[in-house]
Amino acid sequence: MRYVAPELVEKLKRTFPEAIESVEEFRGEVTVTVKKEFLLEFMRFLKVDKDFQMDMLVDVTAVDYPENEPRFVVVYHLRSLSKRHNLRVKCWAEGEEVPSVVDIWKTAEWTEREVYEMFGVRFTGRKLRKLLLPQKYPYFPLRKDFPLEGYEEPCEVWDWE
Amino acid sequence: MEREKVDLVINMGPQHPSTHGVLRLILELKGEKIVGADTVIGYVHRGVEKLAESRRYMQVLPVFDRVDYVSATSNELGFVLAVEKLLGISERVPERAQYLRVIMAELTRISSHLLWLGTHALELGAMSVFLYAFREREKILDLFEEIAGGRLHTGYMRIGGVANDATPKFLEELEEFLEFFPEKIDEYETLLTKNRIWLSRTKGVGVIDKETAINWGITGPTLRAAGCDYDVRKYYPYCVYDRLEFDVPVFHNGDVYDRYRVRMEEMRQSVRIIKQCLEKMPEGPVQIDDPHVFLPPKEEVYNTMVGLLQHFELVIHGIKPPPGEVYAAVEGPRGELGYYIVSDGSDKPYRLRIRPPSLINIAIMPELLKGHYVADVISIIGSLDPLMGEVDR
Repeated sequence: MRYVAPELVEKLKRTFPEAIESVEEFRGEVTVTVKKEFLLEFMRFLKVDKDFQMDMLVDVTAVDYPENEPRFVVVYHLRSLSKRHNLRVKCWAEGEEVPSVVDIWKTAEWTEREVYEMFGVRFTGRKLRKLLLPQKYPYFPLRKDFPLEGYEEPCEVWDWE
Repeated sequence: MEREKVDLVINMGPQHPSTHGVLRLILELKGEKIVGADTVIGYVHRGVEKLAESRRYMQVLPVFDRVDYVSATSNELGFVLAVEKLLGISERVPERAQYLRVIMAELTRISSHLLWLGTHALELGAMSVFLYAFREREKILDLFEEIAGGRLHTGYMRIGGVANDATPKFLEELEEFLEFFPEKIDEYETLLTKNRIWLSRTKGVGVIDKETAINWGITGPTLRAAGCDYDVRKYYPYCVYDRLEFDVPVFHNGDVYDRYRVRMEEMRQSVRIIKQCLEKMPEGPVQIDDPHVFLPPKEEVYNTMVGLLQHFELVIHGIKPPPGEVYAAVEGPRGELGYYIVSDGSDKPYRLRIRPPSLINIAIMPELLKGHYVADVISIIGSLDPLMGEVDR
């Protein structure tokens, strides 16, 4: 899987000197961590800029680091079908909240809902409804402190309306 | 915004036979026309990603067999490619294993498309195609049984190679299958491609144009039917796909009919790929020669102290990839099947995310169904080919 070329990473650093927290490379994959307040601007740029043309949002997910503050990092996998390159963008969810990118890519419509129900990370700018779990389910199963077998105390989760 | 007045709200599924087991649709109707739709999923949510985080890398593999239960080998392949990338051993996996992986992945594609073709045709009223498709699928499952021991959950891929080498019987039967199968595809096409009922049920139904498909992240046959030639096998070749000649079928109307045409053509291409693999496959080992990754052969375990220690070490302590994160994807029968693994240097994945093609392909459904008739719903769901085990994970 080909990731964006080093000169394009330099271009990103030049264009967003304040927004980028870090750039990492591992096994040929480039990860750019962006500050929350610049996320939307950064994503819009990646979509429309002629060198990037990231027209497809492959996936949105999150990773939980309970020791860290902020605790969750939201991970976006972006791809350009015409340029045939990829980029991973990360954003730390301060206050367990990040801006929603659903207006830029429709893929986020369901994937953001999934991140919300599994981790409890909220996406500002949209109403989030649970996707896989009952609406009243009070826990977030993919958090590291959620036990593998689930909690034993019964909870009224089913809404049959 | 004021909602349009509706005549009737109906539930389709989760037990409706054409909703692939456990997909529930809430349809708002005005007459026979759909004016609003909502999807309810999650009935078979098993928390596979959570489960994977509590298992060692080698123990995770059987869990992924059960995610997309009709194309288990593709799931396994995606995962082992991701772990190999994480370990940095992708280049060292023996060539014969790479060819065998491609053969199995393509057979899986054919068997999955046959299941789709049979059930989709059945849902639209064509009984014979269902019986024919399942007849041929049975042959592929026999082949799986011969090489891997399992028919549905094959458990064939391993980190660093494959479980077994191909037996002479497998190769013989595979060649036989490749001889007669293209004729069978022609047979299905005779029944359907120009069939007037089929055409009127599928042409111009559920149209997704190219821009919309890309914007929604749709991949696989649905994207290619909309005119985009994206195929992971061509864009980012894995295993030995870059050494094989094959075409990526692309159609341009983006309707149910074109999705059917793409899948039929893909089965022909899969046969072409497997034939080339059989010609080019070299002799040699099928497992990586690295005691930190692959269990040593049983003879060594039983007869040598070194073999016994290596076996013990790997079983007790497992594989420990360096800290880091990778994303690897394969072209599954339903589209891009990706695995995102975050490693913290321990023997278990810190975070393992499956990028399921079915989940992302069906997200468009509420939008897509609007303006269609109730009868078209079945046609549209079938054409997107969602596998609910994979949607719900």
